[in-house]
Amino acid sequence: MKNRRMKIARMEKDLNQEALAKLVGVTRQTIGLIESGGYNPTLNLCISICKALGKTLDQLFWEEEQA
Amino acid sequence: MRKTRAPEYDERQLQVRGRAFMITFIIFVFLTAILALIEKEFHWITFNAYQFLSIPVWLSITFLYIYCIRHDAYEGLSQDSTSGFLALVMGGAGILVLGITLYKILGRGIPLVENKEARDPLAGVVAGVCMLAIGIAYLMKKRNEKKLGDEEDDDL
Repeated sequence: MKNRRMKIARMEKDLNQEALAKLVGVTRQTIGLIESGGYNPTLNLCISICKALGKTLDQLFWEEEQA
Repeated sequence: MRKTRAPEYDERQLQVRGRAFMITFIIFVFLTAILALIEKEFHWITFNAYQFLSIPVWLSITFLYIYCIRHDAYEGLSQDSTSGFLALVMGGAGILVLGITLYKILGRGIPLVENKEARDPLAGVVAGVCMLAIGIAYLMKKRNEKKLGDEEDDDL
C-alpha cells in the first residue's frame, strides 16, 4: 500500500528522496520503495523517518482499519 | 583502537543480499547436480574438473550480481565507484573472454563438445556470456535510473 502521508510530509519539509535518505542513512531507492509500498521498513527506520520529518509514528505509518 | 565504519548497506539492501546469497547457493547446488546427472546418469557429456566447477560457479555468481543490481542492493550507501567499476570491468573482460573463445571455436575449429566430451571453449563461452551479462545488467540499471530521474511526484 502506498504511503502518501510520508510523501506529503517529506514534500512539506521540502526534501527530495535523496535528501531524506541521507538524513536517515538509507539509499534513495529504499525511500522510494517505502513510499510506493514496495518495502515494509523496520521499526527503527520508521522512527528515524518520523524524527527526520518531525512527525509521529501514528501520523506516518498507522493504518486505520477500513470498515 | 579500531575505527568504526558506517554500515555499507541499508536494512533493505541487507535483506535483498541475504535472499540473493541464499538463492545463489541453491542454484549452485542445483546446477552441480544437473551437471552430475548429465555426466554420470545420462552419459550425454563428460566434463573435466574445471568445467564441472566453473560452469555452476559462473552461472550462480551471475545470478547473484544481476539480482542485486536489479534490486538496488549492489552499490552500498556510499555509492562509491568501486562496485560499479568492478561490474564494468566484468563486462569488458566478458567481451575479451568471448572474443578469445570465439577465435578458438571459429579460427582453430575447436568444438564446444566432441565425442560426448566437453572441450575447453565451453567453459570460456559460459564465463564470457556471464561476465558480459553482468556488465550489461549494470549499464541498463544505470540508464534506467537516469531515465527515471530523481523521483516521480506526479501521482499524489
